[in-house]
Amino acid sequence: MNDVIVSIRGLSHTYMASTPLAAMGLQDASLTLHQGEFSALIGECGSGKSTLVSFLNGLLRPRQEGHVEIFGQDTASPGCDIVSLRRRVGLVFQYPHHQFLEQYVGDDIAHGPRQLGLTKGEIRERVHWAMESVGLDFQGFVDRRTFSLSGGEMRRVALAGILAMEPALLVLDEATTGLDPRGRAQIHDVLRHLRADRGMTILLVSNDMDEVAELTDRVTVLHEGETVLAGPARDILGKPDALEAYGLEPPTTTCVLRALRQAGIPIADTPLTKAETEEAIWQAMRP
Amino acid sequence: MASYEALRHVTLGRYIPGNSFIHRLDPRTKLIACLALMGLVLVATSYTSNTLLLALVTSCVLMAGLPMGYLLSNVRPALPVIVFLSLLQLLFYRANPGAPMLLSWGKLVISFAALKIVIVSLIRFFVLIFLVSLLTNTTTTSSLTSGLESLLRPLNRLGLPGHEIALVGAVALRFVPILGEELESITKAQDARSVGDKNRSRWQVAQNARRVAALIVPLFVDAYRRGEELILAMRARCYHGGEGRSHLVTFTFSSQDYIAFGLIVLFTIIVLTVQQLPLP
Amino acid sequence: MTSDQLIRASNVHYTYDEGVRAVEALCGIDLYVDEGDFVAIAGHNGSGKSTLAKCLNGLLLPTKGDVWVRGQNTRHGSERSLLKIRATVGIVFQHPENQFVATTVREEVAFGPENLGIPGPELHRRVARVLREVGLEGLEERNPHDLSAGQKSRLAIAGTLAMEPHCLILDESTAMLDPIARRNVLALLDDLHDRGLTLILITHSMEEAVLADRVIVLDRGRVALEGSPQSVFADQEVFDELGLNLPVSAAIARELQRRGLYLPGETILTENDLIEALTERVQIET
Repeated sequence: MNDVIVSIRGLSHTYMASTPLAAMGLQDASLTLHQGEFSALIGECGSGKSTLVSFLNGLLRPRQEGHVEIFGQDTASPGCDIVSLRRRVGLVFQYPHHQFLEQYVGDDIAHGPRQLGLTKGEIRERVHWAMESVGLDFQGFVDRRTFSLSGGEMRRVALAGILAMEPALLVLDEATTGLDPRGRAQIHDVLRHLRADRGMTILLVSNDMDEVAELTDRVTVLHEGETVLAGPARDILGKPDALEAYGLEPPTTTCVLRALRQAGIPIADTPLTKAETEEAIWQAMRP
Repeated sequence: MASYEALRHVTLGRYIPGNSFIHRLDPRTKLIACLALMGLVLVATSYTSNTLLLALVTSCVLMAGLPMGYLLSNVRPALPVIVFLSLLQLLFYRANPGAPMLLSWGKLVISFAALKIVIVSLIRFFVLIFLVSLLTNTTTTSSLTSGLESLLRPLNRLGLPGHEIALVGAVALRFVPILGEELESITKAQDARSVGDKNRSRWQVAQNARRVAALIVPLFVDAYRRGEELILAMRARCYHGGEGRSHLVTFTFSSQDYIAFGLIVLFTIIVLTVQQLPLP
Repeated sequence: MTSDQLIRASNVHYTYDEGVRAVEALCGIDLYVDEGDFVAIAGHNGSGKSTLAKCLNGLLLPTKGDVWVRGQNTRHGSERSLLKIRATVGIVFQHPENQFVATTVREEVAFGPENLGIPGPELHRRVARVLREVGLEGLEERNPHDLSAGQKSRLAIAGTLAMEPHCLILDESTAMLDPIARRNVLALLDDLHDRGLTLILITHSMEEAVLADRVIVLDRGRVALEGSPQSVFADQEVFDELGLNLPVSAAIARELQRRGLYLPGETILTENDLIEALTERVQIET
């Protein structure tokens, strides 16, 4: 298919290679992302999710086995244009303050666009749009110091800083872990809008399966550095037994549905989200 | 490609498991022996005594089964500096007039004395690296700090904070890998946002300085926050200084340790004697 | 005051002095915790729950109001009695990594009792017992830094348990864990509670709060709701107003009930409640 934007196959990576402290990061990992898709990358703690994500914008490049092709570029080849890759692939990490490069919110969000050789007006427009997208009031936040913000606000500023570069692929590495429900819901809303209004391709790395079930339409499962499952979210998350075998806690919805089926209640189709599940139960049990 | 494995080449302070004679020694023995040998390094100035020292520590490294190449990789980042300093010393050391010259070619003058200084300094450097590696790579951080604490504890009776010094050392050592990982994470996160033209930014000093500041600030903020949390957690667990504390780890010297002490004393006498003899 | 009252807080205020402006984190909290209770203190970030936790064992002294631990006011008394209070009410914070002092699991667990001056043989026994309780036996010589996230969290709990406290406060200690590790830690807590330990769980997750016998919801430094999980969740209006999230199962149940599906039993809080109610309903019908 020609709408494939990320194709990673048979990738292996060892940290601290050729030292006594060598540690396996990836072993035969693969990942395919299509244009316009909202994907999730899931796996236990230490399964190699963050390592795999680092290959997406050339922070890591294949040194051992494996083929990594991002937007048609083979990142293993010396001629690979890493800068253009970073412009197209935006990575948002778990600790937002690690990503801050300037003192003030406005400056920080403008950091990316400024390097792209845009005019002042264009930069301002981008910053404006990015802040609006993540639900930060421009006037209220533009002059705030980045380190004085609350945890939830920091995450949104970090996200805005990446969005301002208008990436073609947005990757969020555990960007909601540790946030309280309110902060989490805000990030979810932002992602839903980006997808609906901009058709942005998004990869969400998460260990909250309820979040993955609500938001995404494709899922890749990593286990001990290896890609063990990949496919439509409905197929992967709809099989709680398989997820449990890989040390993952399946979404509440599919667990409830599994129990109901086991109790002999006929559930039609393969509901996944909260709303779908509720509707399916209603259809099966309505008075 | 940038390397994000900040601590890859730092082997000092990392315990490498093993079961050699040196691994099994009491940490206090190793600390005292290490200090004694460091003292000897300062005293030894002749080729012979330095060669003896190098031979001793090298055989200890081999005996402990430490990978030599891995230890030497410590030196690699420092290599340019060492070469530069050696050259300076070689060229600008002023020997006594009339001292034998190795080379005299116009303004370029290299004396044998200068050469000796450079070679002895290099040997000393390696001896020290090996000594510290021997201590830290064969001793777990915990027994090292417990050993240090038990050596320093008598200081408390003199009103000096022996326990506190050891604790500060332990906490500092514990934070090294954490801060290393953090630095790696920050570098990655910030690199993901640097999308400018590489060739231009590399030579702009001001921009590079800003980049370093951007790295240091979050690292500092995190370290500070971690420190505060640690203090709180220590207070929550009733920490109130070294007074009235009991100790889980207690040490007793074994016959191995007495053998080691004997060997160190013997070796010290030999080196000091050699130093007095008219050998090169 | 009843004899089994472990902690009592009365009109507790706490104001952070941040130079130019003062931030009022707690504005008049009253609460009690009895011996053997399992209490959840829930609320958003910034609701004051962490500040409250630190007031409950004398790490912070209220700017106004009082806290008593087994009848001893945290404000008065010698350093000795403050140590006793902290050994009675142990607290575990959010990031286990930041709480570790030692470089082996064994010494980490021993740190608390060492501070209390527990002598050698008893110290060794305690460390061995606590490590067994939290399921970390066999890892005594490991560096805490090299443990998995779930193990680190259990080690932090072990480090506090070794002081043999009557009460354990967990200040968001599970927030950064993945679901499986979180479930393991929660199972451990349940086990400890069964053996008589008083638990105070500080959390922003309603999924966790429902595990407690009593939930106290804080909002902007005040107690907004208090009662059994059922009663707290039943107060839908206030609950929604506080912007708290309903656990997925509870949300589905609520929606089904709103549409007119009768679900037998008490208010549905957890996945198991929902499954039970639905299967029971089928059995009633047939």
